[in-house]
Amino acid sequence: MQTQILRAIIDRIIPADDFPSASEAGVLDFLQRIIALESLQETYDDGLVAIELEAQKSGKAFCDLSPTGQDHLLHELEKSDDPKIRRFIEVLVRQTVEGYYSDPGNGGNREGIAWDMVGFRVTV
Amino acid sequence: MKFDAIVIGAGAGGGIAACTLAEAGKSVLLLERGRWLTFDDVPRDHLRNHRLSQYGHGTGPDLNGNPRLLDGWQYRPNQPNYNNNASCVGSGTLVYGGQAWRFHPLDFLMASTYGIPEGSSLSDWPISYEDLAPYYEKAEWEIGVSGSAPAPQMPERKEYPMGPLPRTLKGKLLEEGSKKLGWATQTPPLLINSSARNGRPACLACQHCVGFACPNNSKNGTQNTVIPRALASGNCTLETETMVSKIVKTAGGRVCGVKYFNRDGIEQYVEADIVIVACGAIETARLLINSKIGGPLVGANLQGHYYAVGAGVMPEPIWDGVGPGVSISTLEFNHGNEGIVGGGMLADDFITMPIVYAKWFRPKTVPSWGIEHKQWMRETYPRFLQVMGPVHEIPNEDCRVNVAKPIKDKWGIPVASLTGTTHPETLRTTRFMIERAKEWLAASGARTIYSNDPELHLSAGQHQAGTCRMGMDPTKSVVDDRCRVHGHDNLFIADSSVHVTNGGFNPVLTVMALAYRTSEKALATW
Repeated sequence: MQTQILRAIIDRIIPADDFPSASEAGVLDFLQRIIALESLQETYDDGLVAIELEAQKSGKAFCDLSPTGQDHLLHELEKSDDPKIRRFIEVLVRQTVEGYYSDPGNGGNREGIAWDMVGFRVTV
Repeated sequence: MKFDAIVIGAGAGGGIAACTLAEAGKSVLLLERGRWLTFDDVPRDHLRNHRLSQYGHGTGPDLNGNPRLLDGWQYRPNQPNYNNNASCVGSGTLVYGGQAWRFHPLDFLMASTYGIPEGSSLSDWPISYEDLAPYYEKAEWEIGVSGSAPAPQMPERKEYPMGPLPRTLKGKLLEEGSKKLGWATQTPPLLINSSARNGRPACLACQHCVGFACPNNSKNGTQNTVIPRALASGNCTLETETMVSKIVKTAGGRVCGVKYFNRDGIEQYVEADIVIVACGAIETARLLINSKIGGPLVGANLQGHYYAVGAGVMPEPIWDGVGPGVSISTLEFNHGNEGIVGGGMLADDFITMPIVYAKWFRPKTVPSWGIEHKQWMRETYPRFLQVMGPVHEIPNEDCRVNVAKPIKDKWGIPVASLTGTTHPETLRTTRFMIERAKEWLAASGARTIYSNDPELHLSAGQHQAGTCRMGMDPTKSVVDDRCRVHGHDNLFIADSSVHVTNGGFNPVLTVMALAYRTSEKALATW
């Protein structure tokens, strides 16, 4: 469940267009490493469960919501009264962007695809 | 064991001091907390470097065992509030961008030029631009600077040993803009080889300059110039991975040596005729306070640089990928700005990593995630133009380094504790400079121009300075005009701690020039 919902969320943070989505570019691998290095397992476990519970209030699992429904829920949670949820979304957004746009050595930005997209070229 | 001199810290100032003394025939012990690092040791990791230290920084100090406090909160070396500088042989000169500015003559005369803003500790230096000019020239030639003729606002000087690196497409667009505004420009001087020199090649124009080590060793730091020379003289012993805990005093105001932990963690005591401290403004102050040397002003007047940053989007893609990236600047606003204290230099910047662009340059109108964010990255990264520069800070005595006795590093030495903010007058100067940056962008054809309003904060970082200020009055300063600690005839400081004010420029060439001058003055009296 956790990987599935994590994939669904990060692919709303960076959706596919003619360039890959976050998960297609390897951001799950990036997050796996960062979660281990920064001891964030509990933060992620708790945060993902909290998001799933919020989704279920509308009668559907997060992954079964439409992309628009998922976006809507995440926008709502960014304004949540619960600071823990707000902070988790902030961390998840920040780390997804880090994974997508930083160097491929960190696990995301597979084969430099995000750098191709923005036009950052390494010559030496 | 006894040496003629002990130099603590192998960075910009310490490397030069060690070389000057060793080549003059003195036996020198150079102690460095960090390791020898080469290009292969410093990863090209976009999240762990000295521009973006999100999860690390790629050099020393190690993330664990080296805490610092800011306003009572504890931080690790990669966190912005730590105000880190690289610890390794060469220190920041291994990973800097290497902008090699001389301070402006009026940067030494801030109090007499502008008066003293209420509540600030703004003061003149006890030495002038003319006193430092020969040593600036020495640093430019010995360490190696490339660049063009000075802007009309600066005094004439001898040519640099190397001509300028090429102007980038962004630089050419800004050049057009500056002509429309009638602003004079110059290529920023860089401690980077534009042609082969002293057995090392010319710059490869790569995309990872500032924050990273150089792939072909064409960036000039003390680690590839004066420190190897010091060692080649046969008079200098370099001990890395050592930590000095105390400078030892004798009766009568002299110092006789230092206590330090060697790389095996074993405490040593070494004597010397003179001691030169060059650990950077924060660690030098920490060491003096821990050694009970220098009086109550040690640690006060901590400063660095606020940055005036303007960003804009051009109609067409302008990213040419030609590194280092900084290629045009103006000195129109360093001084003479009506109603403003000081000012600063403005320039384009080193190549911006995409993740840095995402983190630092997102306008408030763009959402932080979703397809709109991705489109913003795709469309604007290739078109993005920025102008930025260090702003002359107005110092405040209450912004300072102290030590936190109960909090100790891995050697058991009380750590640095930072408190206070710069004087609020700095905000007015910064806002004025942001407007000039935006004016330059607009004249250069940028369409969406934006900036962030500065907030009052403690500013130290890589440009940290001021904590052992130079002056003739021992009640108002820590070192004299030779950078000798008042009351201690054989104790000198050779880093940015002695800066009375920090100029509207990157400060490293001033650190280098002062280190040449201080070592020469030390030799002359001994």
